[in-house]
Amino acid sequence: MLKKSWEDRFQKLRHRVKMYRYLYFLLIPVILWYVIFAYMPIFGLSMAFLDYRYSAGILGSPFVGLKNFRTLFADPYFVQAFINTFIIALMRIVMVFPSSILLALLLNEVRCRLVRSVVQTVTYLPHFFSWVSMAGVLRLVLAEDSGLMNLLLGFLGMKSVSFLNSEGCFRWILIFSDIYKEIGWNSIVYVAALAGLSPVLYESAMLDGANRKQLAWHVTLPGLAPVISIMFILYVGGVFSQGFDQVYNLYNPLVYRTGDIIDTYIVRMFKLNFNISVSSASSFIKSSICMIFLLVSNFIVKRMGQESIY
Amino acid sequence: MKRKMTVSNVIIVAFLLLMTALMLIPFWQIIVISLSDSRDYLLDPTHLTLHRPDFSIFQSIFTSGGILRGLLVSGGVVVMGWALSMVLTVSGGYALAHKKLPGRRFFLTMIIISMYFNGGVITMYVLLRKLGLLDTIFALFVPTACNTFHLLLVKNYMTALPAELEEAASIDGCNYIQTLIRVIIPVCKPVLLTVSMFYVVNYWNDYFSAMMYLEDQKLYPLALILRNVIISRTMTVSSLAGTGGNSPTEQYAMALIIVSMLPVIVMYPLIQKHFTAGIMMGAVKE
Repeated sequence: MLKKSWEDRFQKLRHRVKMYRYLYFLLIPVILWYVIFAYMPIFGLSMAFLDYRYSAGILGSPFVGLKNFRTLFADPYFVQAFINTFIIALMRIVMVFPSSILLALLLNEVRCRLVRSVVQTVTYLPHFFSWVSMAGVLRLVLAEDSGLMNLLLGFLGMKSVSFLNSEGCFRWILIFSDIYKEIGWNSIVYVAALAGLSPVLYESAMLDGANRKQLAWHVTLPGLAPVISIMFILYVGGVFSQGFDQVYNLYNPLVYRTGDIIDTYIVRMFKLNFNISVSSASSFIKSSICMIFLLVSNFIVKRMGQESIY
Repeated sequence: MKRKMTVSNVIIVAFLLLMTALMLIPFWQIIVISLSDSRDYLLDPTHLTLHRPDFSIFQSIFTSGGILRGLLVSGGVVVMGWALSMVLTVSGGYALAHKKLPGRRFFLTMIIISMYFNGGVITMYVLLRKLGLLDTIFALFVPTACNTFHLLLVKNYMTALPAELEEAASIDGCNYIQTLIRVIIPVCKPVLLTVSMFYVVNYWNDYFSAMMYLEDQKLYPLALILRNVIISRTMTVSSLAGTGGNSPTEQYAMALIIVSMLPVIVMYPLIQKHFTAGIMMGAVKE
């Protein structure tokens, strides 16, 4: 009896697979691409535990255990980059993430359609410019002798500051330029979610005598909460991987102490001495941190009773 | 109550418009600098008023062999990359949009994991070396051809389409591939335009692949040439491609930034109205 039902299920599955054969055909290129360009590199991270040689390949290179990781943590530059990665990521979570929610809430209060579309058009645009161009723009605005910022400071009677060479300023430049570039783009989801909130909720709350602040607090925010929680998980999961282009195009040796992050450290070291195994070890550490943070933020949001992604 | 509301509204509108204006100032400055001759450039350090537009720098950019070659490489990468990306994204998204496809969960999980756990640039370098793709133009688009986020966007958009579309097509005798080409792709225009723009912009702005995987300076795309120009203005870097040896002027760097932004600015208004529809439809959870 049992055997028959297994056979039955197998027959059904075979039938379904046959029915969908064209879809599998369509799936082949994508899966092939993911195996080669996403999973082979993940498999390649095993180089972190090897003394990798091109001639020997991954299977032939000697296993060295945690030696590469010890080498890494003995390098004060790596330790600094490791710490900076956390500090900068935390600053982004606290400041960059909420900024776009705030923009969406403000836009939601604007009734004039022209103003809305002008603000949206302009704030979305910088998202599409590369960090290379943005770095050119920022170098211009923040230049020590003739930049707009320093002209303004001079106008206010203050001494000029060499922003991009200042250890104290660098992280703040990262945060503010990140907001500048991405605030509009990140707000799209919230703007659309706000537009989808039912006007009936507002009307009934107003009938009950809710004022503007109460409306925002008791109707708008709870309505946005599911979107915010999903975006939060995605943001925290991705925050360690972002920022390479930004830092790499803005920093210089004077601000390594506060600005260098793991990603930029990897590329710099790789270009400097080509040590594949040690570089892989740092990639391995970074990818693991990303994964852990994604899972942790997912867990926390789930605990808070909000929608999570898994 | 009514009056108070309007006052706070005015404050919000004023704040948003001020912010928008402040965001535009640096871009205006770039335009002014790229159009000033060296005399105006030195006379007016604020670079906020356009005196006499001087297009000579743009002329020199568009007659320089290095820049034209960079433009050609970038254009080639965008076209080939876009085609490959769309084939992968659309066919994969369409197949995975079918909830009853056996093995779908497995493939989806496999794809999503790669979004948050990846091998990084070093292992990609070793892989491309093994595949013999280093120092070829393929290194500039094949490794980044499929973007999981965009694939999911397309997949979700297609999942949200009414099932009757496919049923009607299959009654008319279409198999899945014919249905995809004749029925599904035309109705997915908003999301496909949006995703196309994402891919095109990514390829156009990508300097990193070229920097890591290319030795041959003849294959440098515009983005990398631009980076070398900008970096060379603040640091002394010994070997720089496309800058002609001596350090480029500020006007030259700014003009090159404008050239690199131009395609994006031209595409932007065409695609902008589709963003929200494309993204929101695509973001719907299953």
